[in-house]
Amino acid sequence: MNGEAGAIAAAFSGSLGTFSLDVAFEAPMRGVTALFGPSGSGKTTILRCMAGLHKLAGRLSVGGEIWQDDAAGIFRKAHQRPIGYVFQEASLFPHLSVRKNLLYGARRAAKQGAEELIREDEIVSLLGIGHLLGRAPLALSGGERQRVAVGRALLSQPRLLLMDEPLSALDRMAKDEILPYFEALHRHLSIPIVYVSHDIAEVERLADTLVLLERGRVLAAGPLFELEADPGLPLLRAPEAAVTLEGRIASIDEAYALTAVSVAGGMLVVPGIQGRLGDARRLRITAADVSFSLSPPGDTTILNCLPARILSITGQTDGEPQVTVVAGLGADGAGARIVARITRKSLEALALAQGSQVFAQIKSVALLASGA
Amino acid sequence: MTTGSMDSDDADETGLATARMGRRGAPLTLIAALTLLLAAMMIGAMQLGRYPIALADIGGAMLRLFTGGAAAGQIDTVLWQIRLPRILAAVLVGAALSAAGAAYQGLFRNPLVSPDILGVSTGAGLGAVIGIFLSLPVLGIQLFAFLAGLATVALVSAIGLLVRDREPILVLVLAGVVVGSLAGAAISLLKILADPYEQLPAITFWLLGSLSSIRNGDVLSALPMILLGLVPMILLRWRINLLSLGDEEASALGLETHRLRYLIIAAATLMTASAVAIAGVVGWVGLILPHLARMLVGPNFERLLPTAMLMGACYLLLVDTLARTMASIEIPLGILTALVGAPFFLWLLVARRDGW
Repeated sequence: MNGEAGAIAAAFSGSLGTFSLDVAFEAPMRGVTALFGPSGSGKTTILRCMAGLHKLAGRLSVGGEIWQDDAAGIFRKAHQRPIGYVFQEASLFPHLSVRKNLLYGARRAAKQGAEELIREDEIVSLLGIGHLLGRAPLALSGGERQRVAVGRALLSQPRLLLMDEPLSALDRMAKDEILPYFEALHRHLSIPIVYVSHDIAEVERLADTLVLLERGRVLAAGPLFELEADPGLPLLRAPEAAVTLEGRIASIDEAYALTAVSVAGGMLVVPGIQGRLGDARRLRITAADVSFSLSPPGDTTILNCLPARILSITGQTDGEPQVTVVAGLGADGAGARIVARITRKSLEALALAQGSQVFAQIKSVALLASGA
Repeated sequence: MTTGSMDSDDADETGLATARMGRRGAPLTLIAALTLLLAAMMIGAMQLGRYPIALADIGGAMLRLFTGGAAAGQIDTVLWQIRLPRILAAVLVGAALSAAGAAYQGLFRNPLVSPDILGVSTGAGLGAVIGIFLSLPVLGIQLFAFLAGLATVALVSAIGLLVRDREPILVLVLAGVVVGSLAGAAISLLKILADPYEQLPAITFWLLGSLSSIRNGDVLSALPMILLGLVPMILLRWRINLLSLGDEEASALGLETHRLRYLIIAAATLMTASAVAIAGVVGWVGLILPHLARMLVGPNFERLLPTAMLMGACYLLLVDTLARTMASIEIPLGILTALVGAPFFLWLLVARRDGW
């Protein structure tokens, strides 16, 4: 495997009852890697194997350090791995205050002489838990408890943060409340995070790298935006198919309250003043919001019309009303990929084919959150 | 942990206490008050009984003990041979069961467990019943109770180790219930087979728990075992707090807790089995008193352990004194503790589902 020093390389196989797992993937040592798939796809098992909480045959190296290698007889137990692990439901020490819970992680890290890369005040402000420090864990809400648990995990100065559906035990409101804090962590900390989720909305907001799982196998692994636009994968076939794009704020129109975000191959306008020049932003475009025309559209209320080139067309079979089109932004199609769902009738009327030059009209661009 | 960190914990948690429930005063004051209460109750219990002894006579008897004066007949006999051993046994057994209960509740992260949870009490009960069935002397019965209690825990733990890939705490608890009911079946069988005039009453009385036949030797034989179980709890009291997380959470924080957990289970079992060996099966003490103590001082084991032990001692001394003075016949302890314990347990179940 190449570039293992800067990567997480994992391979596990084995069976648990009737369920068999056989996976191998690589993920970068930075950003958020999401293990994504339906329940029963093995994502939590993989995470537990990475933590050393569960042992399957395999190999795991993290940033060049071998944590498991059956061939060499290496298996570091969970408590010997420099990890932070966030469980579905946070359990804090009931006899310690929030602050003491946080410091518990830090104290151990200091004892082991770990370099203090993550500071307490930084974590407290990123997670917004300053006002909770004096409280007892019993007095916290589910979302607050989970934020404290994340803080405690991070202050133990782990080399890798593992999160097992940390939002699944929370209700919608608590989820919406906590996600911005996770995004802030993602933006400000350099520690790699492996995040298990079955919720595509969480993945779109947080993940950089995606490991797509199904029934104990890896369907695909790679950058999120590539996998979203891969015609061979179920993400694109799903009715709610969408792509995420990373960009930076290029200009701000204060008179009309619009923000222009430059992405690879073009510029997209989103409503509202969404930050300062140069800020990183993550955008989401659903396949249903994209249509194509052959010439630059004249009178239209749609702000985002960009030249693009069609890269692939799938689902073009008799009896199917719609086809799925992947296009690359820019006249050469080398920019960011977008996906569109259009009728087969329109496709044939405009004689669209792979390589066609088009103008993509994007009815709505959602600002997901601030990207990396 | 060092004493230094304990001090800083204390300083920090004063604010926490007020924020949390406002009923956690300075624990030292509480412990001193409980100690005084226990001492007062012991002196009170010495006076009460079929043969009342005046306070002045107790003072005189104590004085004689130190000055080596001639014994004043019956008073000294009742006090030193019968009443004091019984009081000390109540204190010892109450403290031991309560300490074991506090440890089990912390280990299993479940407020509704008690020394019965691993089948310890029933297992030790079976051992004692076998001893009675074989017409062994008292010491033999105690030894059997103790060995059977340990064997039960060993069996339950072995099942826990065999069943992998399941929630380990749940497996242990279920294994305890199953092994406990097997022991219960064996006890029933022995009761049917036992001599109905000689052995059956003894078995029944023993299974209900009683301190009526306690002698000095019993106290002296149980004391070292109970202390042996107490030592690791005192030495590791700070680390026992860490067990409230569960093994997986703990190991994800870089802690290895398996061995500690088994060590504390063994220690708590040793204390329970020793108590059962001299007092019979006294239920409920190990459930209720640790709970009340936790309500008073919170879940920090450093405070919980002494508070629970003192409260357990006071409680069992009170119940045993009632048992021997309330009616003309001895009321078995198990009956009185169940009368208080069962309603309390139901209340816990219904009213305090918010955790602990």
